[in-house]
Amino acid sequence: MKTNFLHFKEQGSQTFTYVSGGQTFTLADAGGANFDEDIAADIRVKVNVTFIGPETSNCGSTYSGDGAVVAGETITITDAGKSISGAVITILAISADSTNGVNLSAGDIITITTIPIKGTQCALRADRFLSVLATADDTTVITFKAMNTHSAAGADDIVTLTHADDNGALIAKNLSTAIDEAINANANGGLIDVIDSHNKGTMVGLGVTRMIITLA
Amino acid sequence: MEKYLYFTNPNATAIDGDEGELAMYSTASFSGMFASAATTTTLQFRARDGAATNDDTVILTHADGDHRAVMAAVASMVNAEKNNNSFQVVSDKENSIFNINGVTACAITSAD
Repeated sequence: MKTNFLHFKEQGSQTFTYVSGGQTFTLADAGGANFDEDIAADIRVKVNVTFIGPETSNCGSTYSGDGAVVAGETITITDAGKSISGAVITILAISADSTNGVNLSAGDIITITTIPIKGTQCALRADRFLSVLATADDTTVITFKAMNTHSAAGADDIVTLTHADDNGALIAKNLSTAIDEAINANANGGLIDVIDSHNKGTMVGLGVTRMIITLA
Repeated sequence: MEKYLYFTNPNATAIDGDEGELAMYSTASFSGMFASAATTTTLQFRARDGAATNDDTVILTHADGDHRAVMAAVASMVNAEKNNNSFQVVSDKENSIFNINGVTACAITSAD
């Protein structure tokens, strides 16, 4: 039997351009344009630095033996070279850690991206879809039979969508239509984007501002 | 036509242990997949003993961030999109056959 798989991926990326001063970067709150979930631990994100110009001694020894990098080179900061406090990510300077630290220069690009774990991206079988339910005027929940159990009493896999409050008039209906479209998108079966980082999929443009994936 | 997904991981500890060296699952037993780490995607299958509350898993190791491409390839194999064969080799380390770009290894865990 041909089966479509519905693809959901939470968004989780923010880019900064370093100016001067402390090497701290405040992550946007969940539900904005960058992240669907708040970041609580520095090991949950990958921090990349792309150098605007060549550097001779601004990288710790773990990145470059002599500390030199070329313009446009990108390195990934090690776990030891970063920390988090609240929503603020700090990249350690070389003076704090000569091995894992980095001295940033004005114009360097810092890209902070969520590292995938269970519950950030999934492909759910269309034939395990159960329901779309508006649980509030601004919240719609999509439920599937859990992929890790076949017990009727088991928990479900859930995708929770937050959107504008229109008193249930239109958005939830449009989301229901989008699920129908995805489930029946390909008669030969395949991977169908429903929401991929809010950039593409059958639900993009329907007013969803936040998506949380909860896998049993 | 029933279709099957085939995996081998000859370096696993033992066939009878928690880690399997070889597995073939019916696509009807395949219940979904998710990104489990930066370089791994986990495939969930109904437990081979039919138990309702536990599932078997196959974890595919691949290039960093390639989850969507791997998921698309698995979905294609489940539907035998390219060759219409009933026997779909996903990751056969024993014979160095990896039919998904970027996949380099798999780990098979049976709940039974």
